[in-house]
Amino acid sequence: MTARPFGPFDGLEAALGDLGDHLDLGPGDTEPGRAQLVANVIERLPAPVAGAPIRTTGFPAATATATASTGARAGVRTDRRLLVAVAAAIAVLVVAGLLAVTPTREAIARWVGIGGVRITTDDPLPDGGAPVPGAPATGTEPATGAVDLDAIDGSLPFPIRTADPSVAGELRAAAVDWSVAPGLVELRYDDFTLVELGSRPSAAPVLGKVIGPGTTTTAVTVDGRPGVWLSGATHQVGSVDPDGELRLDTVRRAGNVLVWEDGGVTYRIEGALSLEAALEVATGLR
Amino acid sequence: MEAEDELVDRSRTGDHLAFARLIEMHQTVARRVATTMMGSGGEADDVVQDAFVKAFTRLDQFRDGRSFRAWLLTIVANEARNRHRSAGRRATLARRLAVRRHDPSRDPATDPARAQEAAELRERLAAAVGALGDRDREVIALRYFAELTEAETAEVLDCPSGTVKSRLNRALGRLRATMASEVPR
Repeated sequence: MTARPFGPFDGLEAALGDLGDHLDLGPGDTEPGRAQLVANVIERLPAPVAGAPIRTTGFPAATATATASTGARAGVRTDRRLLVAVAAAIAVLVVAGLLAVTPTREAIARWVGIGGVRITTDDPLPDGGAPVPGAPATGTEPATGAVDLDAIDGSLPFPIRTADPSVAGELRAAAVDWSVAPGLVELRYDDFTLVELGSRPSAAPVLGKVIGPGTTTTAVTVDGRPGVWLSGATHQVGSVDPDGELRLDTVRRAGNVLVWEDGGVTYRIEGALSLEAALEVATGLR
Repeated sequence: MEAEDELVDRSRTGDHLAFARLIEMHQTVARRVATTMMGSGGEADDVVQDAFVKAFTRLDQFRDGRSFRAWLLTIVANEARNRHRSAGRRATLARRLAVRRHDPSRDPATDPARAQEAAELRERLAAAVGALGDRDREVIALRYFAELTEAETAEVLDCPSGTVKSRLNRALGRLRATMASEVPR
């Protein structure tokens, strides 16, 4: 060792600050390690308290209460697997360096993926888009009047599922949006829009949702499949190009949203619905 | 980025994703404090993980307007103390503090000789901190490694600010003495 002898160590406090920045904190102090810690903690957290209100800022008509005792939330519970996947998605994207490309990208702090949908948080939320509910398709104009689903069903790489008319009423419009690969169909009902998106397990998400600080994200299960319930302040939907960039020119506003994936298809129910109502629609798809 | 108080507020309603962001924001300083108190190679990760879980379950005890970091580190420090006590002598032997290996390729702009000198200083200082008693290490970790203010440090240690000042002075005095006593070999 060639260190000099120390007399009065005047720079001690600065040196301690520097030492703090250079401590070896072990294998956990890596991007995967930090994400793993998040996942481990989230996995151990208790589920949200029954009866606690789900934040619904800006959507008084869509107020939902997570009250297990009512029975309306039967089948709804916090799904740890999804939240662990959330942390894993954060790790992958941080490692990929996707957060440091543009100012917009720097503002997008965290990513969550489920099926073909990627959820990001952004503050402030970008301007633009149409109001909810019944947001228009991101590409083609929807068909209106009598809807002939048979005409478009065979054109998609997955079978179209529709809502139970006794629950959702009649289908009002349908549209296929080919600008979002591998194909997206929007089915419009009076109170909500059902979006179905073909998703490949290994492919990057093709739709993005940008949520602001007023939106609450809650893990739920839909017929045993992990899902996410986005409620509260409006959020936005846009397509994500192959480079991971969110295309804001097609962004629109969305209401409360239930997102889940089943059999290679990502489903979204968007509109001014409560969680209970969205789940009733989701479990009745046929 | 969301404001911290907004994330705390959302976490209280059971928003796990909001709490995940709080974990990401504070896990490095939590690791620094736990590692300094437990030693490198100790159970710092377990301490941090347990502390975050306890913090989530006790969010109703966090008072708005206070420092979330200080409140969290109070839990981390308590957890580390408890583990350290129960581990006994084994923990004492494992309290060495390690410094990340100097990698010249990560900082090519720095003069190699000066970088090497800085790395050696860190090694010596880490050894000196590692040789301190538990109370000294704790106050050094909170004030310098977690960068808490004296008032926040006092909050974590549940003592008056004046006591923090005197504990810091004693700990710094011991470190100065250790560093000054070293001779070239």
